[in-house]
Amino acid sequence: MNPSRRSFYPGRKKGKERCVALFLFILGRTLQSLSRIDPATRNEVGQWEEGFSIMFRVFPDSPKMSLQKKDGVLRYLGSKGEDADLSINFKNVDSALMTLTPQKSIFQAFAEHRCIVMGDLTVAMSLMRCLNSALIHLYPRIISKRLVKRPPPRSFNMPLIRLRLFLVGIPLGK
Amino acid sequence: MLPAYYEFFNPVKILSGDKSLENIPFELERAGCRLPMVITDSGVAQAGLLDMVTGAFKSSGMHIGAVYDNVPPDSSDRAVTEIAAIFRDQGCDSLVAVGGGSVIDTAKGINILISEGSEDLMQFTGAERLESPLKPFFVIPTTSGTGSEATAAAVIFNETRQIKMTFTSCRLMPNAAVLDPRMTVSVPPRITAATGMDALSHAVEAYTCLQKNPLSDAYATAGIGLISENLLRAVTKGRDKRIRLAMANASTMAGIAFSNSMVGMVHSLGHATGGVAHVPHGEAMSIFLPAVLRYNMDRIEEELSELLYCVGGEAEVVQTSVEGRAERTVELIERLQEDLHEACGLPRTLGEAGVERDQLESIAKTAIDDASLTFNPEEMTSKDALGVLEQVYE
Repeated sequence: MNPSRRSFYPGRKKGKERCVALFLFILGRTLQSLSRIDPATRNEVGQWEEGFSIMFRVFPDSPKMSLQKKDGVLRYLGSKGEDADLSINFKNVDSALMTLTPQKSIFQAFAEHRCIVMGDLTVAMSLMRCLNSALIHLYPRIISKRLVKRPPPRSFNMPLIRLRLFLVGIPLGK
Repeated sequence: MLPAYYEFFNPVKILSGDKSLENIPFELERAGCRLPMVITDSGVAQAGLLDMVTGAFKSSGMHIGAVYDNVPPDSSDRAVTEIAAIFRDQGCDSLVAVGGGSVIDTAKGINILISEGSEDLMQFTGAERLESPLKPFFVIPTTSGTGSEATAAAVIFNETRQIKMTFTSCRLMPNAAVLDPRMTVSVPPRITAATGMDALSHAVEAYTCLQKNPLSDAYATAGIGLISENLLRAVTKGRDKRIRLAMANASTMAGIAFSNSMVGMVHSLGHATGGVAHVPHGEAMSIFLPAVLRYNMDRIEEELSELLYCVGGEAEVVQTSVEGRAERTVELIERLQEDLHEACGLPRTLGEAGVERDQLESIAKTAIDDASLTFNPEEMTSKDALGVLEQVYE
């Protein structure tokens, strides 16, 4: 008996992949910038080994984004590199999209097995705190309060950091 | 309410009850094994439990490839490498771990090295880094607490780097766990109490933390019910095999639950307290459990209210107002803690456990880097952790 369809390639979710790539770019530039201007992120990154690398990627071959600690701060490396000391791997492009857009918080994504960590879990916890900081600065409070377990108290510095992030950090990578 | 998405995995066959040890050779044969290696520690060997296990192989026609009976109290990478070399030299094809958490985790580490064909455990730390299927692996717990016989995780101390390496992978799950009451009847009262409170903390955190799901809830609630009913009796009437078997089952149920829904802040603080002040894990769990439940109360009130039935039974639920049930659950856990203190001296505070006050800050800093914290419903900074530590100090 013949199969109703012979072997075929189902194609790619190109729109979703582009969207994930864009959000990974924003996240990468945000983390890079915050490691210089946000005291909390700077403190976390300061404890990592020089040269330590991080990668966010989507299984099996969808967009990825790398960061590396150089001269005490994070450097955004784009999609360069094949491996890293610590990687956050989304199981598929839909899970990445849900987490990055951000329909789900990062801890909810972990709780729902949307992504897995490979590498030192102690540094992963530190990275989680950096991601929390990124979300707090990227999104208005009405959104970020559902992305972190406990939003930080309002501070005088936060609008200034956010302004610099959106005017210089993300567009110019500084 | 069902979570938006969840996963549940438990391939471990449970052999529970009378003469279950005697079924191990049959299970090994069904798994295609001919030459198992038995791993244990000196305490288990001296208590005569190793002889009981090897005795279970009599008339089975099966040879035992090697026995290693000197696993250190804290699993270490050095011990793992040494035992893996013996496994290879003797041409063994499977592992039988007889012991508590340390022996079971050591066996998991050995299995990683043998199956991955490596000498360096460090390259497999973290989540889901194992590429090859592991060797058949059977576990005989000799304490009722760690739940390691049903979990996908192992923690092994790296002697060179002085860090605890965590491994998580579905491949680490044993083929079978053997719950034979003969293996736990001789456990001393204080260890029985501490390991039992460890199991209780697994089940309660599994039920109240972020990765909970309907299947892990079922195991958690069944485990909590058995522990509430049997833990104090296991401490005071340790020779009763029915009570011991109930606790062994509860511990495994709690292990299945937390392997699928993870634990939270009780474990973050407990791991850190163990690392900094060397407080036994179960004792730390017992000290932190009520305090952390109160800390998380705003987020888990509903779940704690539901647990009152498992902790106190029907009468407690009927006699307590709906608003007071969560608090009553915590009070009953505190009462159990007090009863265990009276029965065997299980510490209720960090002070009683020998922690120095100047160690608290270091414990707090270490605790926020513990991966368990990811799944705790409430945020915890090092300042928050210090607050809880001060609260349970005396």
